[in-house]
Amino acid sequence: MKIQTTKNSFHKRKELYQLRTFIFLFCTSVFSLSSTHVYSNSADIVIIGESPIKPQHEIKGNVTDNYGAGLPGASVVEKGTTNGVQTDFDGNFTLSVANANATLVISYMGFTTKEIAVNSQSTINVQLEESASALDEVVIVGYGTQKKVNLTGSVATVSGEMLESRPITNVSAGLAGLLPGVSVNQQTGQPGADGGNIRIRGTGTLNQASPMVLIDGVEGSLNDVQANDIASISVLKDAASAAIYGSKAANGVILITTKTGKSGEPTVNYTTDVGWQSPTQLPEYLGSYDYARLYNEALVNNGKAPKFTDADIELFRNGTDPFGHPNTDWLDLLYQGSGFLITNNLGVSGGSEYTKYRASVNHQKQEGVIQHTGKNEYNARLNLTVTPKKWLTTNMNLSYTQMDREAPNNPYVGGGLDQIIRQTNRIAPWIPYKNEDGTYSTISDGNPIAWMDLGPQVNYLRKTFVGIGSVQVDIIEGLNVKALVSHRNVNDANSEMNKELQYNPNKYHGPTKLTEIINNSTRNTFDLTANYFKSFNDVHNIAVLAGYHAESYDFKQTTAYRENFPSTELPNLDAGSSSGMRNSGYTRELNMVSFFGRINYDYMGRYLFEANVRSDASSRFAEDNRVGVFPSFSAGWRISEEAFFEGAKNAINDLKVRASWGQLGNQDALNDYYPTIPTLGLGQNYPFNSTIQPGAAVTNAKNAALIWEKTTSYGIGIDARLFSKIDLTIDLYKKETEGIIMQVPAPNEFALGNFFDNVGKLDNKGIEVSANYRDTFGEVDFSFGGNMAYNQNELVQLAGTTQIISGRQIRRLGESLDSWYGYKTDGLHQSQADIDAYPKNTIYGNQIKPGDLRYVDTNGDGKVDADDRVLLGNSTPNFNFGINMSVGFMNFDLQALFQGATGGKGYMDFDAIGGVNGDGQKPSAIWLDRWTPENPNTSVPRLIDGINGPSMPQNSTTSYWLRSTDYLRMKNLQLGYTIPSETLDNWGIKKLRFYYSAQNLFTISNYLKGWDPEAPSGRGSSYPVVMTNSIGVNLTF
Amino acid sequence: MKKLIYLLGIVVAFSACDDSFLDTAPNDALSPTTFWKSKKDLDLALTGCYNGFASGGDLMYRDAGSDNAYNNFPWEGWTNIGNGKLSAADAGASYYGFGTINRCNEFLANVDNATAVSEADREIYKAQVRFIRAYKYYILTTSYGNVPLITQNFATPEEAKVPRDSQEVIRTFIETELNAVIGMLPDAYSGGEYGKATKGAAQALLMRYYLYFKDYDKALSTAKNISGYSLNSTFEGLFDPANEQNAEVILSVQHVADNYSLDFTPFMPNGLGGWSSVVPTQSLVDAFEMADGKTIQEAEASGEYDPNNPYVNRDPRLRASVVYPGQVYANKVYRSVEDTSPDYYNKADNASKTGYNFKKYTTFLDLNPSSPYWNMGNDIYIFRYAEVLLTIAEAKIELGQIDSEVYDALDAIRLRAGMPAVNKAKYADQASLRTLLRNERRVEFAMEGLRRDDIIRWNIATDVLNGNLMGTKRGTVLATTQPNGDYNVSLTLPANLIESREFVAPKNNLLPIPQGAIDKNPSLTPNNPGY
Repeated sequence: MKIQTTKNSFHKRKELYQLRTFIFLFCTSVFSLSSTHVYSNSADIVIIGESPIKPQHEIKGNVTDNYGAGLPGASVVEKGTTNGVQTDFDGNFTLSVANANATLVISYMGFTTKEIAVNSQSTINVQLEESASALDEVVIVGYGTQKKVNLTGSVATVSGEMLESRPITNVSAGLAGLLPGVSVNQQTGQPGADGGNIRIRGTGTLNQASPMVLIDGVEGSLNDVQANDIASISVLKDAASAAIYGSKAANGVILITTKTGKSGEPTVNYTTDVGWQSPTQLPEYLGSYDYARLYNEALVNNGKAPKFTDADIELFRNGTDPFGHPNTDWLDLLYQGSGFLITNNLGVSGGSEYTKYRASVNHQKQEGVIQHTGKNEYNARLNLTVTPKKWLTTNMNLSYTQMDREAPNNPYVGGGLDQIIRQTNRIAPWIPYKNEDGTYSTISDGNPIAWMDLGPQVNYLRKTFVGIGSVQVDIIEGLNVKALVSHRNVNDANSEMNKELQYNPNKYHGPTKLTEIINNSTRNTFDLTANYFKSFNDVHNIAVLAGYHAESYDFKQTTAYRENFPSTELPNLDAGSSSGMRNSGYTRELNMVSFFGRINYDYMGRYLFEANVRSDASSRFAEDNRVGVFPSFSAGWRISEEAFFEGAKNAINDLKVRASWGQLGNQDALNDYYPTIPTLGLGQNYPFNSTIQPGAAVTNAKNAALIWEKTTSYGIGIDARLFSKIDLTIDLYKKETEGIIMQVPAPNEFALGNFFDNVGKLDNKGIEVSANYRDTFGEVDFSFGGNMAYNQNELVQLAGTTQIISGRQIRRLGESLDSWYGYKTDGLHQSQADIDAYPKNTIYGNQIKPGDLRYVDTNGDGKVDADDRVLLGNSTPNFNFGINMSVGFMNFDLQALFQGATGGKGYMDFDAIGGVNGDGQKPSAIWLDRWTPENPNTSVPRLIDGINGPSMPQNSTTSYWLRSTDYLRMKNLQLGYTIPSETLDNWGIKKLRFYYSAQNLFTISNYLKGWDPEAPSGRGSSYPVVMTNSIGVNLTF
Repeated sequence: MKKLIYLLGIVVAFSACDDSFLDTAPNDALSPTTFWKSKKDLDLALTGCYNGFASGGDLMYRDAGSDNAYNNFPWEGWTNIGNGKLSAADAGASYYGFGTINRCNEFLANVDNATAVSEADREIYKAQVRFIRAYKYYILTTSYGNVPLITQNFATPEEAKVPRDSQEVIRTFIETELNAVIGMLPDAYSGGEYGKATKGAAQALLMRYYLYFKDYDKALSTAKNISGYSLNSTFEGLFDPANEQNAEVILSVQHVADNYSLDFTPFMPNGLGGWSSVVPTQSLVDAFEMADGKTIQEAEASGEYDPNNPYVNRDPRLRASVVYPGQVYANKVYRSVEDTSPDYYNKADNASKTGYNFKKYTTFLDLNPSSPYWNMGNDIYIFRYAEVLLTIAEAKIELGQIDSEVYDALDAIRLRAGMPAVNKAKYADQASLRTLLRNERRVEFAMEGLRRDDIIRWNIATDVLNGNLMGTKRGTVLATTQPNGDYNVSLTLPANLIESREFVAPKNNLLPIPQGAIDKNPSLTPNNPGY
């Protein structure tokens, strides 16, 4: 057996690389700790300017944030002078002014600047309002920060506090509705598996369309970080802002910055939140009495004998024979979990001139609404910045997340929770949970609640460690160089047991099996960046960034399997039989080397220009196609800075127009790490003489010519601030993704399934608007904001073909991606005469009976066949919006966030809708209103025995079963009360807030009753979307 | 300066990323550039061609497309083939694939690079692969008529959008290929290679091919050239997994527990935890003669057959092929006719709708009722010598050559099964012998996957696959037993209706090319007539 021979040398090289990364991390941390200076207690009142007039009036005061916590480092300046001070660690200041009628200007980054007339007061306490729209707001961008007013690309930001005090179990869920152009679809509330699908400006590719996530500058996952640790989130939506991340940025970039310490005395923040979850919706199925009646009806309709006698049906109705004629509410038996949720977060931060730190620990425990579906998650995070010399800054950032979650399972087909929910939705109500003798009753597939009784069987344990170390050297004024290394390791240890089950003397599922899967992935990165800033005559400002990035990613999977365990309580492999044991494993690796640069230039802050370029080389592609170059250009014009605008500035405080062009790549198009290397797959075995022999065959086609997908995006935007109260941003964009790597619909004659080629083109265009209004009426602080985004996509090229049909969906040129595809129906046939008068349905022929859906002959050729299939709408919404409002009065605060989407349709299969098919299916309540000769005025078709009739949702996709998923949801409601600071000062507490908070409190939707509009289409077997009610305390001292 | 040195140190430490850093390759798959060299390589690739070339499960499902059996679950693919309601959009079980053919083509295109292997050995490898390819084309053309003939793989999917070739082209290919490899294949292999295609396998396929296309002369001569095989001494012992390499077997789908196992769950009764996916019909049960060679109609007229206790004194092959009411199977009495039984037709989804269950190959449960039937190593026969004998008989009957060779062949089959020899007085002419032969073939190969092709080539599918499909009559299992240990039954309640079947010739003689395949290759249109 010949294997590629470069392995050994390669691995050595890789080890060296990893070793270096560790050494660097280690050195950074040791260096950081050894140079930590003792906390300095000197009063940090710094005179930032010298008063030309002899001070006459001394003012003492305190500057606090909107929660009453002292703001250290706020600037207090006498208006019109350079006389000013900064507040100390507690927010206190003392300032002497020349004139007792002077005005003080109090400002702090991220807060609205306030002006206060002194009016001879000697004590002035000021509360600053945090402001997301302040003109000097700084936003995090790729490899740096930028003043928001100077942005030329499209960047949406949200501060960490929008995620605080909410009972969210996943950061992605918390983002829903907050950012224009960022849609979040949370399909399930399953503990530990409830991450939402995030799309930025629509779906830009047929492949992996999730945005890149960077946490503190290092690629990671939203699962790596806790909401309470987040200081801010920036979303880079266009190529101009994201091009610096090149080949991974085509789907947008989410930059998360975690909280850091500030100079000042240590602050301790503790938050605890206790909540309860419940499903937003559960499907409703018919009980035994109704099902038995409907079953007989369907059997008779099909010319068969009824199954139940009138006596049976009466016993079902009166419930006097709970074992012989039961009416089991299977869903009620399944949804027995407490839904209890508790989150505790403790953070300590502080710092001195030389050292700043923040450490936090977080614990979240969650019990599902279904038993044995809980999770337990721990996070620890440390941010440490040490500045041993004025020209040297070191930073160490460590985080560790451990999440374990469990799930029930079954001995029959496995499949964890999904199969349990599916079978619970299916099993007939006349099957008792247990027989009179205590044994389980079953259908052929078993008994889902018996499976639940086996306890948790699947355990997922994920450990994520991220270590980041950096050293920054300020070489000369305006020039610094920074080296950053990171190491991210994710270890998944999953154990799936299938415990055997003897339901009753006649029914056994088994034997007990155990599969252990260990996945380990490591990504090491190294970044070297140089930043240069120079201002010429205060008119020309130029900033330059140059950088180098290298990364290596390694993945390894090992699995082991044994069966025939002597007991179901021995979940270790060794307890199983060695006969029949199996194992498997493989490795994957992916390496990248990149160079990038950026130039920013502005003229008097009025004309803004930015150019980016990144060159990426990836091991994923063949040598000749390895390098991708991704440039971008953008420009902005701050009209409000022009002299001619002066007159309008009272009304329009700030106005900027922007335009951008750029290109981005996408290599995550492929799960395949070696898409260009042809191979013969092993494992194509066959036994001879009852002994398995190894076999090999080409099982996948490879394409050496593959290159990067490339997305070109154009955008224009307007940012405006009106009447000092309203912030408005409007963006228009177009994204064209070319060379989309797609699986060419290989004909059966090609025989090999996975032939990937750069043959797709997809356009997205859209508009995003966000507006925020903030005002104060007396003691009432009020803010109201909204954002909406409309995105339309269109397939422009499709592997040289005009359409690809896959199941119920189609990809067709000129149409939106993944449209529903099937038959249009227009009501029900009322009689045989009606059927005969209608174009003949050649698909179902004489199976069509009165009460069946009327298939429309869309092409008018006089018959209904496969050619009459048409597009039936989008599978994903194209309009997303969010509305948030907050009111603060005295010490109360109320916040509400609504979120919604329109323009999508969902399709629930027969497993969800149910039908008459013996013990293994029960009809949902929708069927009570089915068509019968006596009930002709209904939209619900007739019910048949079986699942394959012309009106059932199983075989043919029909417009009848496609339902709009439009919804408006109250995503979050929060009511808080903050104890007045006067009271707290006595206790040495800075802030104490109690709150009630709810997620998904209610939803308005017209979707199929019983199913959440965000839940995935299909058989409806996923864990339900949940709503959460919680109460919590936030304490800072 | 200090700063610069510090900085330089960092840069030097990390800048050593040479180009090969970006050269990665999988560690779990073979590279074709270094493959196709050694005997080991050829063995791997040859085994890869056998992998999945035939499916034992599929052979057992196939009878559900005939009057022998019923498939209760449409998603398993055979319900609509059986009742004729199949369409391109809902094509049911599909044979329209070229995966194995692709592997064979790949093998044949590269095998001669392995010059380290002797030419003589390579010939044998090639002959096996060509046999497998011809077998796949036989299935393709008997299922779909005209299909593309692909003997060289395509470089891109675009090139693969080829139209169908006429059945004539496919037939010529199959015939030529088989005639070529018959001379190259060995009569048998060493023990460790048991299961590979032999000369006999190629001859048997060619024989079946001639019979299907009604070339009786060639079917006869090909059958008579098959040598080295003999009937197993007992019919029941033929299906004992311990005896699966007996002298009757010409080619079988190989299975081994755990690693390449066969799952009998679809065929087992509900009462044993199975699905009853494929169950025998009343029509099949009625085809088994009485033990004395009378048909049940003849026996009923003479009072020897009691329709209310119908399983007494029947052809022993009935008990070896079908689980019927009152039978002791896996140490339990099968009571599908009683409404308290878990096997009663409407008691559970997985209860047999006909009141019968599949028995062939599963007698291991009689020996050990706790056998893991979901993980078995039974080989499933593709060709066995009984087919050769019955082909000789059929070809001669059709050629009008009614002589002792016809009777000898039929008698060999019948005597082995424990039945009397053919009553030569009763079956003396072509017409009566044709009826007998067809029935003999039906009961001998029940649930072995031959029936659908047989009724189509005999043009009797419109007769036997139309109308109401009925299950067994219902009643009770009595306490009295027969000499073989089975219990008597009293079936006094009417049979239940299962479904209405429809077979339209010539439409249903072929399957529709699935719409999915046409969507991906529009050159395949038009679909077969009627679809």
